[in-house]
Amino acid sequence: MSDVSRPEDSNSLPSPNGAFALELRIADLLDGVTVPGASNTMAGESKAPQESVKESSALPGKPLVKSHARPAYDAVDSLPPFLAQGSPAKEAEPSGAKAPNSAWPALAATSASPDMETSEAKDASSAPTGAQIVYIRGRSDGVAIEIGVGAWTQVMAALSERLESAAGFFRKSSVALDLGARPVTEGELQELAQMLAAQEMTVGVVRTRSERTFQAALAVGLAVMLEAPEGVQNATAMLATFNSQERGADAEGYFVYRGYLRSGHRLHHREHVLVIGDVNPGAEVISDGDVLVWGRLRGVVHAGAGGNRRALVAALDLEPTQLRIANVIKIAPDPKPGQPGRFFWRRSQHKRPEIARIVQDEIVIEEWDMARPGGLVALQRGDG
Amino acid sequence: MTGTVITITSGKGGVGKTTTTANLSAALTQLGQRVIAVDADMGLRNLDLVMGLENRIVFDLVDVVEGRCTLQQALVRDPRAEFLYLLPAAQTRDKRDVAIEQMCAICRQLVTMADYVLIDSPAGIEHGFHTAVAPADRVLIVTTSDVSALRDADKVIYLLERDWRRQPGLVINRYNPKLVNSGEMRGIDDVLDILAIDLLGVVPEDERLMLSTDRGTPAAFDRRMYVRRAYENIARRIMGVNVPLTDYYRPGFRGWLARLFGR
Repeated sequence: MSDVSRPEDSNSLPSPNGAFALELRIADLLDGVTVPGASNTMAGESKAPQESVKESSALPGKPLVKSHARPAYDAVDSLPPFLAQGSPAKEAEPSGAKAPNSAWPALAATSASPDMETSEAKDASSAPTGAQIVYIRGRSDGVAIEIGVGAWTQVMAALSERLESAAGFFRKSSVALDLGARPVTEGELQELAQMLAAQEMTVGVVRTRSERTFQAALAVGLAVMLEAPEGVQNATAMLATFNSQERGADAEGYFVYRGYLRSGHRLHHREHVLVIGDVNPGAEVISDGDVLVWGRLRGVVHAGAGGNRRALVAALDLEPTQLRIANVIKIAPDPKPGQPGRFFWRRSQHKRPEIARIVQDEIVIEEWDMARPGGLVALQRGDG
Repeated sequence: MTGTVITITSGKGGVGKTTTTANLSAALTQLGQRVIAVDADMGLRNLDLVMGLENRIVFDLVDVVEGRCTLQQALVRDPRAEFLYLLPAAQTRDKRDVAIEQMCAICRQLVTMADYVLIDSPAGIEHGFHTAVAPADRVLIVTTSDVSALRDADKVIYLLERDWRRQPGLVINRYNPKLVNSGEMRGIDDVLDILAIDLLGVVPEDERLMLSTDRGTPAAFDRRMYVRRAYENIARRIMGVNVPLTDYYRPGFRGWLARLFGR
């Protein structure tokens, strides 16, 4: 299973988040499966490729991946990211206590990134080049730029170099800027926006995991999305992950419930659960697989109760009192003072369907078309 | 011709089951219906107080069940109406003294005498609740729009659907248009959004209603009461007349006009 994390490791991507993380991991999986050469790098793990195939097919997101094939990126990016630097030597490098450990193969696969990030940081800072710091990818509706780890001046130099070399190729395109966990100041953001503007590119949306960057982007007036903060990992959490992976069997088949789940009603099934109707506060839905609600979801929901961390919760109106996936719990935010609980009996203000999943040990809730490949810019457009 | 048994319940206490029962009974009689109100809240009876009939009680429901009197003897007539009777609950006895089958048997007799039999259910979802709901043809859920009342109402709806296969109607009580307009309280839409059952009516909040309850005069008998109109509308809807919902959202002059003309 370690092949899941491997390609990401070796191309030293800035650890992606949210929808990206899943896409990339799946894409890498597929690469690992389809390209026979790629699996050669995993010496001694004969079981691994099979498992990866199984897992990727078990993922509900899989059909989406097909439309989101890797080569689309590569057409724009000069090198396929996973070939950019394929040094397996990196594994030997000590990268803190939490380096992906061969004794726990499952962990690296499921709860990927924070530790990878640290090791990448070392990698990148030792020899930063443009190709490593800045990633430019073409999407169907714009350009995605990912900023990796490195000093800001180097980032700017690398970006400018890349843009110059592209010689107006990206002109008039809208950019989705992924800054990762890096804290960026307002000045730096403005500088970046100006550089892009010089190439007649506009910043469509900024994705960040840093609160500071988020505030800065707001101040500058850019559309910004704050993603889940970096997941905190510790040994117990990892162990729990490991155990639940051991137990975790994915659900098979669907259980369909038509009607309203009201307070006091409890639905517990091993299959995926599909509710056509509402799940009211006080009701519980528990499934070993996914929970899909065609309606409002406001009760307590537990997907992947058997320990399947890939389980999803999706609803047309996702406002659960409590949301659990495998062993991760998310509770609804407290209502603002002076307001009745928005998450409780009040019709929600936003209308978009949402999907919840585990990303880096934390439950991330995204609007459905953000989770969709290529949905980033589409979302920004849709909101005007 | 037999009448309809309507049970008024809520789950939570204090949301106005008894007041609603008393006022709906009064409103229905004023619309020319023959009504019998039954208090199923053994041991904590107060429908008789709200209807102002306490001093007339001689026998009660448990006496009927245990054969100490006939059903006709236990019925207390309301002198203000043409045909409004109260079957009081026992104050000195327990909820367990009336079994579900006995209650059903009594109601089968009552529907031969009246057009509507309204049962005031006790709070909670225990034996007393099931006793009150079992004979019902229709169930009315009374709720206020606060969180706990809604949660309990939701649970009651679930129980009704599961155990009794009943689709209840909803009465929103103590509705405060001012607070709803200022966005501080859940509106009708928000309540219906959660409970997702048919709305039978909305009763606005009125502190004078509490006073009338205290005096033992149902508001429906009091021509000066503004909420009388709300109960009358609910009664009409129970009788199958299509009455448009009063628009409490409209403040200002038009709202005042609407109030003046009683709509």
